[in-house]
Amino acid sequence: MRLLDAMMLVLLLGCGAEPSSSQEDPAPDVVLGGMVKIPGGMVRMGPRHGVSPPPETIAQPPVQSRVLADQQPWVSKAGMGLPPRYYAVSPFWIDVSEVTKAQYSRFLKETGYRLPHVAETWAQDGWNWTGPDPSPGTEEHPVVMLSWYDAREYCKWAGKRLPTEAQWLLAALGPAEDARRYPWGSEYDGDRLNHGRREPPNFDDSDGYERTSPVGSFPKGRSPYGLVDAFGNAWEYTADRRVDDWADMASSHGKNGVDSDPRTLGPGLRVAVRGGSYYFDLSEPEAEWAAFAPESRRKSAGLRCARPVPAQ
Amino acid sequence: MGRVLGPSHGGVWARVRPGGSVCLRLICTASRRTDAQQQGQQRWQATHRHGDDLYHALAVTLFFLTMLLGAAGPATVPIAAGSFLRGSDRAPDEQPVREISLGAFRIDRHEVSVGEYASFLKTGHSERKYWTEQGWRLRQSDVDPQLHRAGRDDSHPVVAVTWYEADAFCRWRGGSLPTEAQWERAACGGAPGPYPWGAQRDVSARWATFVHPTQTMTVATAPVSEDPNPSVSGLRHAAGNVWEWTSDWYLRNAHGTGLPTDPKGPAAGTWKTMRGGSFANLPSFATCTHREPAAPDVRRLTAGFRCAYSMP
Repeated sequence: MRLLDAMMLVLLLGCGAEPSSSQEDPAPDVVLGGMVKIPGGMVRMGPRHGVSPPPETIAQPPVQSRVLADQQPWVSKAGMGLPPRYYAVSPFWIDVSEVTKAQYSRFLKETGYRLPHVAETWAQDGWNWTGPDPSPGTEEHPVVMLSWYDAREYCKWAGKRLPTEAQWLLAALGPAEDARRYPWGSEYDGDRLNHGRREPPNFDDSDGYERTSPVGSFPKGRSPYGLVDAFGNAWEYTADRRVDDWADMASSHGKNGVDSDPRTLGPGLRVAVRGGSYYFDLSEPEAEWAAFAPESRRKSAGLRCARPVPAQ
Repeated sequence: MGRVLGPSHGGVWARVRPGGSVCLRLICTASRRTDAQQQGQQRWQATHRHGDDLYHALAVTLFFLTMLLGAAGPATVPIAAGSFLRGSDRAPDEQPVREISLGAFRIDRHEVSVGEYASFLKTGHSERKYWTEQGWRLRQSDVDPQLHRAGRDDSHPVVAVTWYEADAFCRWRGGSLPTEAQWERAACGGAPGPYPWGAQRDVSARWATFVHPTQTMTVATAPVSEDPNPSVSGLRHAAGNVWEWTSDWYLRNAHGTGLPTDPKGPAAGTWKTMRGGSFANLPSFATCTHREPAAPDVRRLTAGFRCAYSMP
């Protein structure tokens, strides 16, 4: 069964993966366009760089949060300088791939929602939608040019919601014990994701794609749970607001000094985005971290949705 | 400051609420306007105390006192009945361009300020009659209604209000939220714009040109009355500063349907339309024609409103 699914996946992806890659396929039984259940796990938020992996049992108390002079979301310094903490995340479902233009098109047609369109000159280079159908040939590319609000409305329509940042981290990098820096492991490999480069014009086609790529084009870049394009391709909005500190994280301190299911629901002035994009250099550790204004529509900003596990 | 009432505005509606109960209406009738022009002074008249000099004097004193205390009600701008070209070819949801005729109405010259909203929180906010059914339901679940001052004083526009709250506020003030068509006519008056003052983009408006993700961001509004680029009709901050709720439900193709006379938008929907852009949006979001969908229960730190009034 697993073998059959793996073969189907290879067909779906439309790329001739070498036999060796199926060997390292961590989760061959997930299907593009579907969802995968993420078992609960521990994530580390805040800077990971240069920090040793967590001990087997996490017993240390959480870092005492500094109390902000202004605990309001009115001021955001883009969430720099978060103290590192471990958080427990409950099981949830998440989209295997980024939301495609074909999926978003269904939403546009059924609801009459606004098209991804920005009346600025930079957006007229093929980024703007002029009707509810994606331009031919791009149906399986991730939808971009969305604001955080657009992303949220899409997930709501689909009966889902945006993942929290902690959920995203767990789904993309696996549990903190694995100490992965990238979905596939700890070493950067520019062939496993659709990335950009640091210098303008930032576009980079060394990975085969100058702009977005059809979702799932990089099966070797899959996360431990089977997510494709978690890193690269399009930035992904999370439900969380960026804060300067975790002081206002509305979570209780649970067992072993570990907080559960942290959420700082957006929007505030900045929202937490993860994953980097085709327009971004991801070779540096933690480069997949960013804060966007929820109002902005960027040619690299897309999404994937999540869904809570229903209470038994 | 915007509280100084220009002599060119024939009828000025003012409402004074010391203690929340006294309400004055200032009317300069046609003959009195001539009178005033000849004599170089304006005559103030309390609506229901015609000819009573004592009450007249009292009313005038009270009005100026209240103005001094900074509690004067909204200054409005009259918009004459007429037709205008609605829409543009800049974005798909602004098409088709269509001639629309509207009856006369008045509209707040300024965006509703923090101070004005604070008075509403103390008075009308707890009165059922100002709320829609759904609005009241949300109001009842909001145990501690917050004034989202965002570190700003009373002169700045209120932000982070839901559509329901804005709607109730305008009813409390004796008006309603403007329809999309009213807003567009008041902002550009049928001129091609795209901005209320014309086509210049290199002006200092409260909009975002480029905000780097690592820069500090705040609720960067200007006081409601301080606008170096008012619209031709006299509106302050029709473009930029904060988004403004309208009464219309949002549909992408709403401009292609509906009546050409006093259109009120689709009969039902999921999103309400906001207009005018904000301090966090690019200039192209702040045109007279840009339409932005938003869930009516969402609170954006970038969104406020102004009210419209039917002509007496």
